[in-house]
Amino acid sequence: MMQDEQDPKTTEESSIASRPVSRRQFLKYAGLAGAAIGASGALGGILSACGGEEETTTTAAPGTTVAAGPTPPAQDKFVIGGARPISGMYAMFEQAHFGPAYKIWVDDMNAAGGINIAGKKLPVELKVYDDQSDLDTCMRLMTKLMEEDKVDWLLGPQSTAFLFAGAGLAQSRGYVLCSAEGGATTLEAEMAKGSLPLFFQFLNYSNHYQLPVFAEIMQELGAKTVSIVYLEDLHGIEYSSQAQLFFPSAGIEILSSTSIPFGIKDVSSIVKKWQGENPDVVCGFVYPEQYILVLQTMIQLDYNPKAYLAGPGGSTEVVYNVFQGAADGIMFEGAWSPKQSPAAQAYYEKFIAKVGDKANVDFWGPLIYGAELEFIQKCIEKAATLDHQKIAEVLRTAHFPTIMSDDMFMTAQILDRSCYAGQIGQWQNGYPQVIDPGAKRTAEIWYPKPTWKEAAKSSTSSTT
Amino acid sequence: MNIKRLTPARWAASGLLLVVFIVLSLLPTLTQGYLVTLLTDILRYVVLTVGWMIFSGPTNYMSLATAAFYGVGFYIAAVFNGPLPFVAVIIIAGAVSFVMALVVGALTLRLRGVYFAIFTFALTLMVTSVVLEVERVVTGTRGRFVVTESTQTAYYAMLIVTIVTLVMAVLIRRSRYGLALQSIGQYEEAAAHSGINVVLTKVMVFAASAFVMGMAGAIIATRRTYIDPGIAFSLNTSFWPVLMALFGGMGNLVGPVIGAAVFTYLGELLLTRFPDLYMLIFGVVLILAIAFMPRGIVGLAEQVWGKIRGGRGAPA
Repeated sequence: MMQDEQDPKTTEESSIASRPVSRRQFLKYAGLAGAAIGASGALGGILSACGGEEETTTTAAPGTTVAAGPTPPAQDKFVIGGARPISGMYAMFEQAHFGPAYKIWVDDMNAAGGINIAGKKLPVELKVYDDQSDLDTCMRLMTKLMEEDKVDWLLGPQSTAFLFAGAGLAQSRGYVLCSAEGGATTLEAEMAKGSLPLFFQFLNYSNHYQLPVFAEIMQELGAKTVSIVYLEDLHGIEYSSQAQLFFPSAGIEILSSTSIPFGIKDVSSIVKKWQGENPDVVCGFVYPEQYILVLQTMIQLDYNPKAYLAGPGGSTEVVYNVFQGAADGIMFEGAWSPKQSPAAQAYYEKFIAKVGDKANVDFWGPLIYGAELEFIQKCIEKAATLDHQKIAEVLRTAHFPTIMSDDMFMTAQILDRSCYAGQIGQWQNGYPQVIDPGAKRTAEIWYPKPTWKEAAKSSTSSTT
Repeated sequence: MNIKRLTPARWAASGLLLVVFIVLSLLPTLTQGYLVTLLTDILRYVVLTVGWMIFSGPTNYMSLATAAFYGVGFYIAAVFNGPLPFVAVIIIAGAVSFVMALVVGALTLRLRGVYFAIFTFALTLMVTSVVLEVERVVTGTRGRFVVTESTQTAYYAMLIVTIVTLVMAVLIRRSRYGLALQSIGQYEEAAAHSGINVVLTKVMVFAASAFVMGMAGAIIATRRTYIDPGIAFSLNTSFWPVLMALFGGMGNLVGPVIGAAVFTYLGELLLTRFPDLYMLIFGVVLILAIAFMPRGIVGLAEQVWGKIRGGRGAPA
């Protein structure tokens, strides 16, 4: 404590009682009084605001509500808004995943004269802001799109965490939000509570139904043991914990489950551990940066499990090409194949034209996004209104054919399992094949997969 | 009351302050649009910047622990909002950040200069990793949903915290702690020799600044629905307040307030109007500001005002 000063509290109290107030003191008290008035006003506000459970914002409902019969909206365009990662660490998703999909959608709608709302075709306009791959910025821009720009439709944000935050935000403003690159089991619990009636999940994920299908495939192949490496992020933690549920119930023993952080530079100890464990299958619930590192290490140590399941990015040809064909036989979370149907092939070609290079095409999300956006458009047109509550009702119950499925529909606000082109894929001679059990399988499974050396020699590495 | 000694400028400043607070208090009743959201965001940065300035301004200790204290507020809101009243959650968030800063400060405020800056930076990384690991082991997931509050509630809460922050900053600045901090900033050894308990002073003020940062975090978390360690402890939160304080000027409390407000609004404007040129323009503005406005916007304004007054008073 400072020894050479008087106690200011004592001095102040006595001076107030006995002496005229100085200019300095007056200013202090005036400032405090002003602050107190402001604080009391604000306190009143917060108390009253705390009393209400719901948003009082009245700008929530976008567009016009049709009271009876389809009445065309007065507006002359349909504005689609989005806060997307044009820059930052997630920019690749905007460039090569959901980004091209929604741009193709808008191009197609405008080529057809616009979106048909109650008999009136409205040209579609895009209003997309850069969220810089930052959640704070993304939420602020989504709020701006809904409250200030009052867009007619909102695109889903990138990544599961953004989607989780965005779902609640859109719900509070009365906007429907459909998933883009994201989805996880934790959101199901919120939906089950009924707190997100305007949210719809299209992309597949761990328990919906990638890991159950993968467990079925392993059972079919007679695999008995698995070792797992996963990243300490939402995806990795989710998939590893879901594996703990689905693998043992399919009779597959998990020998080890090892977490790794972002930025890891050496996984040789993990690969050596697998060599000791000798599992039938290795699952890598990691992103391309770690996936490349893990595979390079396995190749260097000449460790060849019978099967390897790759996480996000394992489904893109650009990542496959890193290994010059040695990745043939790798399984991936996904999945679709251009030759599954003429519609899938046509969409694949359209996608290449949009992204400029076939190496940038992903065989997990794009077909789902294309079908999702087509489905959304049909639901909006069927609702014949821009009222999001009514559009949500149609989304919940409608059945429409799309490029991915002859009968696309939602079950409890999540795309039904039957609608997906596939859940698990495998690279075979540089070509993505769907290996789900049943009719969706496009090729027999390579099991055990070729060794790294065999695959590198035999691969032709060509998708087209 | 010695009102005669008040200059017109002081009267105007007091009146302006009062009007600003009244307008801000009434704002949600006048508009219900995006402006309230934007203002909440601006007030958030005012709290963080002034909170940072309370300690780092006079002492010249560059703290990069803002994100750690702010992020703790996020997690307190994620755990307690809903079961406990929102007001209690905000206070708990501030108190936990305060205690955390006390502990951290007591251990580290003997460090100086770049060592202190690096330590506070590392603290944020360490807290992020600890929370991530605890979540992974205990809850088996990475993030948490947060019980949300309405736009109005969050706005009023942030306005109150802003007022608390500003009043606290003024009181500290004018107290013996403020003088002690300035002494420490100018010559720490001399301050210690003159009888100031240097470590205690630094720790208490460091903890006080953490208190308001934690409260701000708790409020903003309720507008995010979902949080995870990467979101809660984003390193941007440590760097933005430093830039905002530099941009506004660190000579007095008005500088950080103006810096935070202009910086946030400018960022918003450029991001939405010039998305392709955003970073370029923002970078150029920052470089120009640092090169030609070493005392920030407020320093420049004072300089211009001084020239105008000097010009008026000059002989013809």
